[in-house]
Parts: sequence; structure tokens; C-alpha cells
Amino acid sequence: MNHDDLIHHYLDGTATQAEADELSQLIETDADMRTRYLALAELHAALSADETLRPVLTKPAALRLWSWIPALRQMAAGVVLGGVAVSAVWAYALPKSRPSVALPLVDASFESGIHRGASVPDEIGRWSGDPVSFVSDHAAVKPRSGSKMLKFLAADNLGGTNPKNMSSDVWQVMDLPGDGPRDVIISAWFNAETTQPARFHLMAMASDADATSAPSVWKARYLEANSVPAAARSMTFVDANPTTWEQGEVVLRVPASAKTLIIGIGAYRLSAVPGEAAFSGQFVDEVRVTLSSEEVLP
Amino acid sequence: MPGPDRYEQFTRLLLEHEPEILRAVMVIIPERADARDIVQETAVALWKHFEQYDSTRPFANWALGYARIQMRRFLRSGSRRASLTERAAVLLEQAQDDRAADKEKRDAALRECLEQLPPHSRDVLTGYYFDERTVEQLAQSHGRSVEAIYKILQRLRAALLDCINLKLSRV
Repeated sequence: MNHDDLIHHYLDGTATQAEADELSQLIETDADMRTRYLALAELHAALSADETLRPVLTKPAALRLWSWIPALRQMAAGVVLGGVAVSAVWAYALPKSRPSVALPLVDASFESGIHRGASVPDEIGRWSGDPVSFVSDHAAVKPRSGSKMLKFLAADNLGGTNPKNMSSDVWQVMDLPGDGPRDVIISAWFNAETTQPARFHLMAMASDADATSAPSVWKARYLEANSVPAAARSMTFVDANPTTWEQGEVVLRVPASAKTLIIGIGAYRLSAVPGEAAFSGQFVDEVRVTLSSEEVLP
Repeated sequence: MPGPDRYEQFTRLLLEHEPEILRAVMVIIPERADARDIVQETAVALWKHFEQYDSTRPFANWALGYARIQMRRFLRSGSRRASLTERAAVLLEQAQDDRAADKEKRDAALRECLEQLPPHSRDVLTGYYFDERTVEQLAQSHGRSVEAIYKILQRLRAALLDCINLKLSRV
């Protein structure tokens, strides 16, 4: 086997330990081999981890979904990171006196227990996504409101623990009323019963397509990663106290023509170790979606 | 525990630099799932130690230090997959640091080289790297054997590297 084959086998995960040991030996003793390995491995890493390369490879026809999106440079709290806006629990950015209207999110406190479908829904008004359950209590964790809360169970849409998926996610699609530039504020309360730091995220995406296109819109969210401003994401770490809930929030400025909103809520898995529960006790409750016609973003 | 302002700062910095950290990890630990685990463990460690972070210094460099600690732990833990020795990893990290200055040029060249690929090659790369399809799935959808898909991936990487080097030599 030549040296390049050794490298490729290792990068593709098909190398035996004996081949990895031989490769290690070459890397340790041969500077040229080190350089060759780094060049190929950096290429592999770039293709694996840099989502901004996807649109370079994707056919132009697939870009139509985002053709209407203007190039907004400032989003949630003025930060745009590779097309993804970062916001957190910034109550000061959301003055309570501004005119706003609550949007009708279905089953916002997860009381009905209805959850249908394994991915982003193609219709208004239902939760779908990774496996979850709706529970009335879990050890010291009680619902934030109502009598139930959503418990995340798995991360691969099939009930297993596919280690390729970092988070267990649920989605809902909503109509976006009004026109002109608007700001959507999505909040949710998170809690966890775990000894490890638990991390959650809130995601929002606006589209000018109708709800039936939501799955493809969501899938294509990275197609124009350099100029996809109509998407926002926030992260929330919760404390170690299961009797208190922490609020996460994300603010999304939607373009004038947007008429559909996709919201996603996810919990990051705690462990990928076989036999250990990846989602032993992570919860969300009391989701709120508010629309404001006034600018709340800097 | 850092206060709310520091929390906001941490969240911004982590989201901004997470892809960069993942890339650095994947150079040593090329399997995406393993690398993501390491980045997740790194994120937790960074949050625990964020009070020690000097905001006048680059976050990525600070974060990479913790990522490298997590990588060593991973290599020592006896992964289910074949892995490099710690000694090899350390040497590669040093060489990686030496090459960091040219990263932007290499990335720009990679984009140009990807644009030159024919559609079939783009499909294979997109399926494998961005849609995270397995080689078996790609073999089925392309009507090729698993070995043939591995070979195509290897040739594509080699061809892209030749293309990048050619472009850099002309700069």
C-alpha cells in the first residue's frame, strides 16, 4: 500500500489499527509525509466542516429558494456569523412597551401530546421531528406552565442514538402575517435533570414559500451560507438546578416578502458513549412567538 | 460561574468559532461523529473556564488549546476506530500551526478548484461531505461498487490538492 492510500484509508475511517500505526510512524519520522498528510487532512476537514463550501458545489437550480433574500448585514443583536445570527437571553434588547402581537403557535406548552412526523413538517400547526415524549414530571423537574412539558429522547428521527446527530430537534411551521420588514421573537424555557452542562438551541427561519415547501427550505438553509440572513439561532446553557427554568430567546428580522416561519427547538445530546443515555433528562416548555413591526434589532 | 454579559460573549464567540475548531479537530480525528463529540466536550470545558479567558487574545487560539486536550484524551481512550498515536498528533498540531498563515489562501484556492469540478464529481462530494450519506448509499445511488466510490473520493481529494497547489504556486 502506498503512503497516499494509507492517508486516504485513515481519513475515510477504513484503516485498520495496524495501518494507523504505520501512518503514525511515518508522520513521526518523515517531515514530507507530515506535510502530505496535513494537506489531505485539511482538505478533508474543510469539506466536512465548512458549510459555506456547499453552495460552491450545488447546482444553481437549487439556489432559487433563496433568491429573494436581501443581504441583511445586521440581525439579532447586530451579529451575523456566517449567515447565522446569534442571540441569547437579551431582554434589554426587547423593550416591553413596543407594539407586538403573539402569533398562534399550536400546542405551545406541549399539553396535547401531539407530535407527528420525523422531520420539518409540511403543514401549519403541528410539532414534528426527533423522538420526544410529553411528561407531567421527571424527578425534580416540573412543567413550567400547564401540566406537561416536552422531553427530548433521541437525535436521529428514528428513535435511535445516531452519534452523527448532535441534537434532538422538533419543528413547527407557522403563517407569518403582515408585510414589510418585521421582527419575530421566539422564546422558550429550558430545564435539565443531569449532572452535565446541558445545552439547547432555538432556531428560526423565514421563507417566502408556503408551508408545503418548509422541509426543502430547511434542508437548503446552507445553500447560500454567505448571504442567508433570514435565519437565526441562539444557544442556551441551563444551570444545574432542576427546579428552575432558564429562558432562551432568538430574534429574527424577516424580509418583506416572507410568509412562512419555521421554528426549531433542540437539545444537544449529553453523551455519545454506548450504554449512556444521550438525552437523560432535557426539557422545553412554554414556547412563545411574537411579531413586532418595530425594529428591535440594532 | 460567569455573569450574563460573559455568557452572551461566550455564546457569540463559541458559535462564531465552532466550525473552525471542528476543522482543526478533524485534521487529527477525521471521523465527523468523533470530532463533533470532541468539540462538544471542548465547548463544555471552555464554558467552565471562560472566566480565565483574556478577551484581548484570539478566542480561536484559546479554544484550540482546550480542543487539543480533548483530542489527546480521545486518543488515549482507545477509540472504537483506528487512531493515530499521540506523538504523531502533537507533531501534526505543530505543523498545523506553522501552516496557519496560508489558510485563507488555501481556502480561496479550494473554492476555485471546486467550481471547476464536473457535475458527477460535485454530486459525489456533496453526498459524502455535506449530505453525510454513507459510501454504501452513494454506491447504490450512483450504480457503483463501494470500493469504486472510495476510489473516486480518494482521486477527487488528490486532484483537488494538486489544483490547490498549482494555484498557490502561481500566486
